[in-house]
Amino acid sequence: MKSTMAKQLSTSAEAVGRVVVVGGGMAGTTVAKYLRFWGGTGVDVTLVEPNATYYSNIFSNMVLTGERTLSQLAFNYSTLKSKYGVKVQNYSVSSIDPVGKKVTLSNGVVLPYDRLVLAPGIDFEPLPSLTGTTANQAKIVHAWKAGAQTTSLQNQIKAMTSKDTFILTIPPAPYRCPPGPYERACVVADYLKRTKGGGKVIILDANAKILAEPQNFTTAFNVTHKGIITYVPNAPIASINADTMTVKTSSGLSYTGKVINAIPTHKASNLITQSGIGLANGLNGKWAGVNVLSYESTNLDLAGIHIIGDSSSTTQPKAGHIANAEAKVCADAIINIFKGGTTNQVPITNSSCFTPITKTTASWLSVVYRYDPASKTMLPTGNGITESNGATSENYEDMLKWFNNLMADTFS
Amino acid sequence: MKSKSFKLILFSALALLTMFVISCSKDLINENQGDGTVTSSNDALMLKAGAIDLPGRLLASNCFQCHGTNGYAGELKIGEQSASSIISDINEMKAKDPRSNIMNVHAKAYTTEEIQLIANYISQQIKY
Repeated sequence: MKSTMAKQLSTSAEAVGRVVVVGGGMAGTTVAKYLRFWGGTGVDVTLVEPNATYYSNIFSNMVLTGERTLSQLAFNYSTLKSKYGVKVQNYSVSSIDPVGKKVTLSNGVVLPYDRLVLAPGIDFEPLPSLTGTTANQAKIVHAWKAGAQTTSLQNQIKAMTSKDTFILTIPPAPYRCPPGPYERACVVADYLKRTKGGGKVIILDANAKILAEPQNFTTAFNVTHKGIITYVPNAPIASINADTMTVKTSSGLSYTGKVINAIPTHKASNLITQSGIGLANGLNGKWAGVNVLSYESTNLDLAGIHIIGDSSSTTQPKAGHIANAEAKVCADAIINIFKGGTTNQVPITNSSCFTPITKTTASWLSVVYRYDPASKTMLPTGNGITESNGATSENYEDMLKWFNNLMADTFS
Repeated sequence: MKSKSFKLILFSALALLTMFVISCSKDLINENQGDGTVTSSNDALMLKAGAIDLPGRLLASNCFQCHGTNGYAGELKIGEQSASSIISDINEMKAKDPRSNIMNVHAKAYTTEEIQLIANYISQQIKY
């Protein structure tokens, strides 16, 4: 009887606390929304994001081939403000004080917090030995964060002819969106075939094998886009000459193309790694170490600071769909903590990703992760990592629904 | 013959009654969640107090990326269903071929108890 009453009291207690969320991508926007949606008006949430508009990385490969415009991938924070009462600060972070628990913004505003959630995404290592004139070097883009580089790469692809070669370099894992580079190779190959009557796509993969949907992409490279795509594993880049548009791999092979799309090695956001902010001691290698029950930093000096999405070091992929799931685990944990309770002890997340293979067909990859108390990590459960039985037009239709619903669950 | 049609009428009446009870209880839930008038964003947030705190919330939120917040996507909506209907749908998915049915991957990942929690949660949420 007593315990029932105590339980009722704890579930009816109002969550009260101040949360500052840094980063308005898939993870940060979701956590800000759900902290208010689930936590109620007692949870004061401020989202700090320098850009007023978010351009979705998901579907940005379709901008390269002209099936989407960047403006169709634009999302903003107006619904978070109007419907959920999230405060939005369009400024960047100048400093974080983990002891005094406050964030100072570039406009001088100081935001005290009880919990700080960092969702700043990724940054890149410099490309190894990039040479050439400044103008030519500017042509070597990654387009791995949707925006101006996406437009640049789109224009370079548009200018290609059937005699030209597109070179795509894939960095060593972990990188954002495991199937993404292979998807890009496929849709560019499809575009060249459809609109130019041919062309070549060379994939130089720093990894030893295809890291996502190996069966579907093997079929895509060897059958669907046969004669256009050449896949080269174990080919980390040693140097790029932007004047001659030549890529040299570490094994000494040279590849020359009309367009070089080099995706550099990833690392946690500079917000976390640069010493000036004061968080670098929370790193576990190149990424932020977190407890996946709440995504709070594993470094006790950073108590009260949670890191979700691509900057964190977990066994889960770095991608938008699962970043949304991590954000919900984090929001739920913070609300429970504010109520004086404990975090959920068996969190479950899922990753689902649809990938276009041609203009009309898509494949997918899906996996559910369950918390494993022994290893304290999220491990694949049920059917494990599963890829679709090939690329179909039905999957393509499902992909459009998936995108709309995922973005709505995040931004509205 | 006569008893068969009587049974049919009785069955239909029961079904109607059940639907009525379910719709009433849904209204009750909605009423309990606020005074029904939404004048500002903060009032909108107050609407959800109660059912939003049910156990199963975090588990059920795994559905929302594809099926919409609280299950109310424009397409692929799963909201406004009874818990038993959601459970039977999920159990049906468990038997399908995973590589042709993405839902199989998800249905197989949860225990019977977890599926019950998810279905119970979603069946009690309102469009938000």
